[in-house]
Amino acid sequence: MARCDFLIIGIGNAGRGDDGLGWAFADRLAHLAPDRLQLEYRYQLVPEDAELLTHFSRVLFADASQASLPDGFALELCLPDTDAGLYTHQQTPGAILFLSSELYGHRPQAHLLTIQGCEWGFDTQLSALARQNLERAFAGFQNFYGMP
Amino acid sequence: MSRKIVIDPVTRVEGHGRVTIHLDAAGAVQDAFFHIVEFRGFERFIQGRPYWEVPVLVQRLCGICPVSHHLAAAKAVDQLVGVDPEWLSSPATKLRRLLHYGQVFQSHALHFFYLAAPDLLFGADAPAAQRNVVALAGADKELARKGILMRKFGQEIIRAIAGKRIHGVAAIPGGMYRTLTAAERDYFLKDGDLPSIDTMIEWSKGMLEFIRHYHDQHRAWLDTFASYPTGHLALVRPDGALDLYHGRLRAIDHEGRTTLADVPTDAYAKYFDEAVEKWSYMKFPYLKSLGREKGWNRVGPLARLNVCDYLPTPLAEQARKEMFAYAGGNRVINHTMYTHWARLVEMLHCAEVMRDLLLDPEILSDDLQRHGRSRLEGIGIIEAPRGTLTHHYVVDEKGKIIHCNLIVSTTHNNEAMNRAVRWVARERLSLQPEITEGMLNEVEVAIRAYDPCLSCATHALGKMPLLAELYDCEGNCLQTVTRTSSGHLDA
Repeated sequence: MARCDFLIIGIGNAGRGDDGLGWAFADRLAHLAPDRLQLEYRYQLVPEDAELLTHFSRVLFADASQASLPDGFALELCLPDTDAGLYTHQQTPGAILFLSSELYGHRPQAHLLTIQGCEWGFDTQLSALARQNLERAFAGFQNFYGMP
Repeated sequence: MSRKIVIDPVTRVEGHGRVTIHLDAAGAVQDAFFHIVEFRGFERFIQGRPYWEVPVLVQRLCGICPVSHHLAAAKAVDQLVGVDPEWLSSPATKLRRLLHYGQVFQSHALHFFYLAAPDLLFGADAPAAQRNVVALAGADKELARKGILMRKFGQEIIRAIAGKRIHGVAAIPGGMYRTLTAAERDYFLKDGDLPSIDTMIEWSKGMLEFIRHYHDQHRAWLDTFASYPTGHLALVRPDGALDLYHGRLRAIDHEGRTTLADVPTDAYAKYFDEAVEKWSYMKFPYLKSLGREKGWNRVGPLARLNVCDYLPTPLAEQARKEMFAYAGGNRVINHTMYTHWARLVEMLHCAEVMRDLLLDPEILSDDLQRHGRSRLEGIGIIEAPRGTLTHHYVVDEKGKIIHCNLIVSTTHNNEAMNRAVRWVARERLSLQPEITEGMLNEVEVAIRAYDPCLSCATHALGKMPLLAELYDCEGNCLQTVTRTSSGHLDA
């Protein structure tokens, strides 16, 4: 496996309107330091993603949000979550971090980026609000990680 | 005193599965039903689409076993372009087999390690919050690590052949889209980032040791829980060996008597019919010769090992014989919980088949497509992870789909799962004044053994989207119990 140091996981369904924001964010990064970023796309996180995390020191989970976010997006520290395991092949970012730490003794620096959307129907396009928030999130990412 | 727990949100359980339990005047269980209340509509909305789109469209039925739908549809579409299974090129057939056995391997790994193992390790009475893969990771790290890498191995096989792990494209009408390169093949033969196929075989053998040891400790439960007589259906080769990709349809009754004698898959409609019930969207397939009441069959791992004469790989065949010996040496096993054991035997079989195919130089060949004279009807039947899967298409002269019939594996198991629910209801809930969490968990354990593919949500452990209703003999609903997103019950 070619090694980058920074893993980006876009989460969502690009066929359900703004639920594709996580994938769109990963697409947005495709030409930004491709040698430093590995982009992955997921409908949902699964337990084997815990093994994937062991190859990286930094990880960012990007997902759409139905919540109203002041800046249109939120970037927050993601911590291992032991209570997130009720589902099985659908896991939260915190549960994946927990599994990676528990099973492999590896705990990357992890953040969760949520981007506000508003349209969730059968559509492969993002809404105008989602596109606007995507750009805000991209700028916030560049600023936070120092990637011009 | 039973525990009552708060439900929120009930909406999360709508559109999936529902259990209703009916009591007589004395409070004994009179009947119980497992309802499927979701509707997909694939058979209808692909009508009008060109046939070559079908293998790509229908795999969207599922995120766990899309390869099975892709290949069943591809087998049917092969016939639409005039290519019967025996006329497909040998490299294309072998690549499809490798893809399919990798798919079954990863699906079985997902079910055993993520869904079933917590039940087995912690017990049906354990709190829902404990019966999950995260708790499993804390309890048995080695088991969890192996589970993750075994599923990953199967998914990597799929990715190598189909381009991506979910909803890739591999099969085309009359063949395969691309072959493997030597480097792609070697990735699976040597231990590296991914454990090798030989390691998969060793770990599969180890899992069989695990289930044998578990049987020693829990024999009474495995040999009695949700045990009831059923028919069994699967594909077999002409020599009676199990074949997951192609074969003839064979069915037996609960004692091993033949009820369907190795008929060609093209003739399935002659032998099978489907009943409907007003309380479920899922149909009830049955053998016409036996009728609706007696003609239904289990499908899936246990049915396959019951139906076949032998497994065509040595280690798995030995494991199959050991399983039957542990079950008392009967010709047929009707114990639902042995489905887990059979699933592990099949994992070893899949690993052996994958190794043989990976070592076969033909999988690197580019002789991938055949052409024939167009036809108006195609039928593809395959053994998916959960059982016999049928895709049947009819097209018009322009190649547009005008008829589609899908009999998905879980549909065959519909009656069997209803029987399982009734068994648990009568054995565990009868004459009880209310439903406890432990009782509902046992309903789930019985259903889960069949690995039903109702939707991804149905795979949720400890919070299978169940709504359980208790009715008196007047038809009045006495109690409703559902689960919350936190796994708690509300009554």
